[in-house]
Amino acid sequence: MTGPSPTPALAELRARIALRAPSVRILRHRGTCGDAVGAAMIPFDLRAPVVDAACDGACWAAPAATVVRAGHRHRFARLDRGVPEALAACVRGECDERQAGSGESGVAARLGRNDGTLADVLAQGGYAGYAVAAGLPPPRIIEAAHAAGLTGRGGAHFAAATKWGLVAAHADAAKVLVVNAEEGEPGVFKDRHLLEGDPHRLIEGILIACRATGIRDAYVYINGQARNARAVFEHALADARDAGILDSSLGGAPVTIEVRSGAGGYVCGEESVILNSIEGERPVPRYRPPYATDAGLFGRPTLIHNAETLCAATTIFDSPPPPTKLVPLSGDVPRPGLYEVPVDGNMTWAGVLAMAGAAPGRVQALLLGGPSGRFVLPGEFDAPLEMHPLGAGGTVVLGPRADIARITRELAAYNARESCGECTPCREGTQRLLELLEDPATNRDRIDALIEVMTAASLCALGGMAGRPVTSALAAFPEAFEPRAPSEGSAP
Amino acid sequence: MTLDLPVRVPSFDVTVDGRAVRVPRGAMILEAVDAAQVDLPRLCRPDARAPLGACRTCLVEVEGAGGGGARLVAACHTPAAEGASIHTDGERAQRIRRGVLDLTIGMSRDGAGQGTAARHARAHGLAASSYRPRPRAPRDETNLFFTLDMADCILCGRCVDACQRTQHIGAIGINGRGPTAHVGVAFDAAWEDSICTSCGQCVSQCPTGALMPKRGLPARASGREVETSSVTETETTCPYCGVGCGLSVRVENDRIAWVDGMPDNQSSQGMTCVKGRFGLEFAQSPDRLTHPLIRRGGKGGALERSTWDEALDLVARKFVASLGSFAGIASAKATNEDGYVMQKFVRAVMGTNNIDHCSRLCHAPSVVALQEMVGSGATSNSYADYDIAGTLLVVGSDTAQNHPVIASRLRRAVEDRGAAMIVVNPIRIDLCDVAEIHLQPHPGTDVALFNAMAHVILDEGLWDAAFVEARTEGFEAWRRVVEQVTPEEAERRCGVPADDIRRAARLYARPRPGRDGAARGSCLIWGMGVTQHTNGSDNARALINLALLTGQVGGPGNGISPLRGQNNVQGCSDSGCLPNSLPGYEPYDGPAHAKYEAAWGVDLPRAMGMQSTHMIDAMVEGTLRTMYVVGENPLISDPYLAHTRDAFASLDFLVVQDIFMHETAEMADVVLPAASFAEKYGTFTNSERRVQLVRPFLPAPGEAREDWAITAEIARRVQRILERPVHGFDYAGAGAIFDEMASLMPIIAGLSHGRLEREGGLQWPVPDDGHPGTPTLFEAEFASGRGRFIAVEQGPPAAELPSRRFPYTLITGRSLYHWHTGVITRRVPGLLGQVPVVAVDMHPADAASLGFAEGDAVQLATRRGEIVAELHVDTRMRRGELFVPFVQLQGVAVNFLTNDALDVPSGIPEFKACAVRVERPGTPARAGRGPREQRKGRAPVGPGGLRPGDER
Repeated sequence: MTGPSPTPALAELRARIALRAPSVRILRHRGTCGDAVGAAMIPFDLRAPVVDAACDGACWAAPAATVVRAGHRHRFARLDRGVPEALAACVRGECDERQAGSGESGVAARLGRNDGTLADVLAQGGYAGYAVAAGLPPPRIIEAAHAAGLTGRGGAHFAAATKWGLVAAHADAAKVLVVNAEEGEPGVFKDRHLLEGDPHRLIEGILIACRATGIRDAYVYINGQARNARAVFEHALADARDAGILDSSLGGAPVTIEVRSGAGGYVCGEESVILNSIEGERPVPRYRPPYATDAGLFGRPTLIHNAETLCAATTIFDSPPPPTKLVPLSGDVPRPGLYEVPVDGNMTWAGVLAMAGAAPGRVQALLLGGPSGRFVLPGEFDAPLEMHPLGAGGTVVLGPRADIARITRELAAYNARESCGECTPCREGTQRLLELLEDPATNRDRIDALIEVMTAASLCALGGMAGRPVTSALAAFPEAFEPRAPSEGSAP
Repeated sequence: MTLDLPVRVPSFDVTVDGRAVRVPRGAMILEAVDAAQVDLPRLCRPDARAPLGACRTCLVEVEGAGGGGARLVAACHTPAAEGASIHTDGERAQRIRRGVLDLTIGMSRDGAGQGTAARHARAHGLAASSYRPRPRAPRDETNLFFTLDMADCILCGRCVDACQRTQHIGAIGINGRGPTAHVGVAFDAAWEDSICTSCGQCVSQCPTGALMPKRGLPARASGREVETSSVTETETTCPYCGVGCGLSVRVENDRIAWVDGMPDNQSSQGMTCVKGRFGLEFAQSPDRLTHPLIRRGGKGGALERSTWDEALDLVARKFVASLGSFAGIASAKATNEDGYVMQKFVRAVMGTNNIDHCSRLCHAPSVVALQEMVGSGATSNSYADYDIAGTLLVVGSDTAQNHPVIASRLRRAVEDRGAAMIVVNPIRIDLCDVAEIHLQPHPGTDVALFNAMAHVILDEGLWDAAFVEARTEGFEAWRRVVEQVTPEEAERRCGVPADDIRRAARLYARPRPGRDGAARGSCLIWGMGVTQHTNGSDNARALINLALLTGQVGGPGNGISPLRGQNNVQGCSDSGCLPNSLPGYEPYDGPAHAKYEAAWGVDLPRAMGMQSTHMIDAMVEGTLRTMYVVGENPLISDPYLAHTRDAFASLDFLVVQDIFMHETAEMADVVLPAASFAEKYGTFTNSERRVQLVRPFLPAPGEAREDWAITAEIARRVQRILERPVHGFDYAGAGAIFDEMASLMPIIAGLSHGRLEREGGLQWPVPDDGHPGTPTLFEAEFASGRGRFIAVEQGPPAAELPSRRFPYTLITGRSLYHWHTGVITRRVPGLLGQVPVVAVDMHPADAASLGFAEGDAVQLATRRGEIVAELHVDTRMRRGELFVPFVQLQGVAVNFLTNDALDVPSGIPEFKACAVRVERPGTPARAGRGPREQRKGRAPVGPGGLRPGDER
């Protein structure tokens, strides 16, 4: 798998903004998880400069550092135990030619493995995809997205090329792109990693999508609590702007990119809620039609994409484009972190769990998709992974002692708490569902009937999918919900 | 046989439960369901607004024309597709709807639900929710007109939509989320401490009665929608301000139960303000006048009940005796028909043109200026033009207080449609919240301001040369005057920064384009802040010059609008209750004079009559001995009340015809009880020239009669005593009067009560039966042919300027919660509760410097009198300026203070500026009150309004 070769404009830009760094550097992985375990305080006493970088997705490894030499990247994990001799050896060049991490191409190729400068990103192939797109007529870009099979990584996996075509069809309108980097649900941390670890990839993806659709204005909606992600992204945005990249230095039309943040909430990741939030309205969903591609932000035709989708859009000119999905894996597993998983018919959950160090037989189930998700049982672990069922990818590993009923109630409580309150089936239904789950005398049929109403009648997917983990748990673990005697001392 | 007309709106067929119905393209499925007369729930569907999609109770199954399985969709917001099969009665749709309704009524206190929600739940087989009741808290009873009880709320959001999207107030919202979601005001404060204006639009939308009026019951929440035997709904026109809102009044057992706006009414679009919604109960007040009263025992005697016969005979005899020293005041609150009969009586029977009405006190200068410059004294455009304008220049109008529903349309234009608003007002009025530019000239310096704006427009080449060339005259002479007035010069005169003047001028001359980039117009809207000055006519002229210069008149989204104050001040003027013209503004020296003489069968006077403000002088001078006052209370509404009171006391004979006893009626020799708007047929004409029907919904109290019927009976008796032929006043009803008016007045020739019944209100001129009315005047030419520029120069700002002894400038106006002198609004407990006492608004720094605090009683004194008012500290005021509404409450009225100096061309008094001092109550009047001649402030006055001997 290789990226496209640079266009003359990109070559000129690379020459202008060349990376001037010593041949050996140590990238210290900071970011939220690294800093939480003291990455900033690791004493390196070596003859190589130490540069701060973001997390490379190996959350389990923190605090960690990567030694970078020409053609060689070597991550060293758990430096809280001290800087190992192997790291010093690597700096001296006395080290195996092996690589850490999940690969050098794909969406996560540069994740946390650059020093945050535009020069480093350009040196690692940044903006090569956009340089190609800028020289193509927009319909050709849409064709490339179609050929690459690019789909929405927010969970619905709608074909991006189709969406681009719908927006591009509004030839004379002032269209907008909205990037969904809200990522408010528990168990998902991929977009935050992308923003912190490789923000220029998102900018590049935005530019490609704008070029394909004739959009000139983009808004990036970043979770209001992800302050570090926003700061890093805005820094990168300023660098890209200063380099003229937003302003045709690589070809293409000028694009304005603005950052917006809401006050947080699960429902703020729903695409129409983002539109209301950016407009300054109460964060509640809009009904459809009209669809955002016809009348979205401020009534303008609007292309909405998850941040990961646009990052994946930077790879549509690779040959071949990597069919990968980011899977944020957490829970009862030795090596939790962000995994870029090939979805090429060869990878299985068993393979993913093996990468994460999970012992076979120590996994009761996976919770895939959090509060809107479902339980994946060991019986499915050997089936090839497919893109659509992965949804947004958030995966929590449940060990043998996990209390499924309690987890199910927690998910129901989460949905009840996070319901925006706009529509009755979700606002009332999520609370009633929680009540029914907490009442040991509840009849299963009542739960099923309520979930049917919530699923069929809710205004948006929060309510529409809130019953999903409950249905899944009831089917997979019926014994966990058997009526049980109230424990002593509890209220009647 | 009927003619098959081609279908204009593209439409197509769908089936609903197997029944074919035709719907227009773009219609939602719910429209098809309604066309098929299926009673589908739609708890959150607002009236006349886009769907909310929140309640999820209107779910139906749809099969497309191309086949495929049935989809379950919300009917309110899903467009109907051609050929679709819609099923409301499928098992799945019913089951899911039932499930949603089960959750919905489960929110209520008893689990059975309230109002419309309960009715639909029962129709789906649910007597009570299968869930245990879990009502939300809290209950808020702090609003004086209605209560919010969250225990009945289903969070449909219609109230919030009404507040935010219909009225554009934004007082309430859904606070919290998920289980804590509830309706509330900002920061969950008490309702009464919010910015709520109590318009009740939220109450009108509530499907369950969670928002419930404290008196009466909204139809939707009654749960008794089918039991209508004792209930009547009457559509009529609001009796308060000049907006002319359509009202639907629900009466149960002869009591007003609820008032709704009428979405079809083009003037109000379903809205009302607090007075229209909750302020009609004055009509059923126990202290309505019910019998004629005669003062027995001479001037010192008491008013005692009499028969109609005795009272009318007495009035007729006294009127006959007063021929030559008689004048009448008509009522701008009464109908066109009342006004027409009144002026006909004064002219044709009493033989004088001494007829006027309260327009003298509000827009007389606007009428003077408009007549001179464009040839017609009415608003040139329609409210609909504000909706589509790019720039709204609002001058001297606290629209949110005085014309609340127009204010809602203005806010909507800004917030939803991107219009730019410029507010010109010394006070920081509510509309400043949405305004882009706020200019605060010193009171009385508008001429300098508008001349400077014209200067900028000329200087920067922003004027419409083609319009000026083709449609106007007098440009060059006018231009020479405004070229002298630079923004810097104006800044020195009016205190508005020159750059702000420039910005405003540019924004008016180059209106803000639409969101699609399309060019739009500028609307010029003004109120009493322009007119109630000794230079009121000049202010209006300077404003109208701006419209002529930029061509912002006669087209869509532009125009000039003096907002009329009273419900029928436009119609009272149209009907001829003016001393200088016949009905329809026809002059005495034109052909109309002969037309009216022929029609009425009498010789008519040609001499100009007296303006109402000059009548006061004539009373004092003794040339006016007898007055017939209909529906007016000059002893509170006129300036310098001590003087006015003396004048009325000097009359030989005073007849007051009204619905309540008031200050003027208490001085009368005969008081005649009139029917109110609630008890009679007729028409009102609103500020956009829309003639609208008024219909009775209550019986008149006691022996009260319609105004026109009383006047006509007096006319007949006077004719009889004078031994003239008794004719011209035998009307079968208001419709017959209107027919006579239409036969004589070209502007309404095409109108009749019957046509208004069929078509709703229409805007004059309506020259013939087939004419659709005229939303826009002056499209091709002005009424006078060419528009005329009139050069005006800034004179003294006011007849009386602040001095050392009277250091503050007093501005008067109105309060949202009271109507003019308060005669009717004091009879509405909620309105009185909102504003129970007269308050003076003062900047906090001024209050601090005087040692006063919020709520203190303070004495305001001018050269003409003193009042004690409650201090209200308010940063909307500037230092040095005070505001007091002119309502009388607990005997306190600001017009004891105001100056009766007049604007010469129009005769309007200077209500908007006089010099006042603020002191502790009980401070004796020092030698502040000079001799009468000095106090009288009659024009002409010297520079600065000062007279020799005035101390500064």
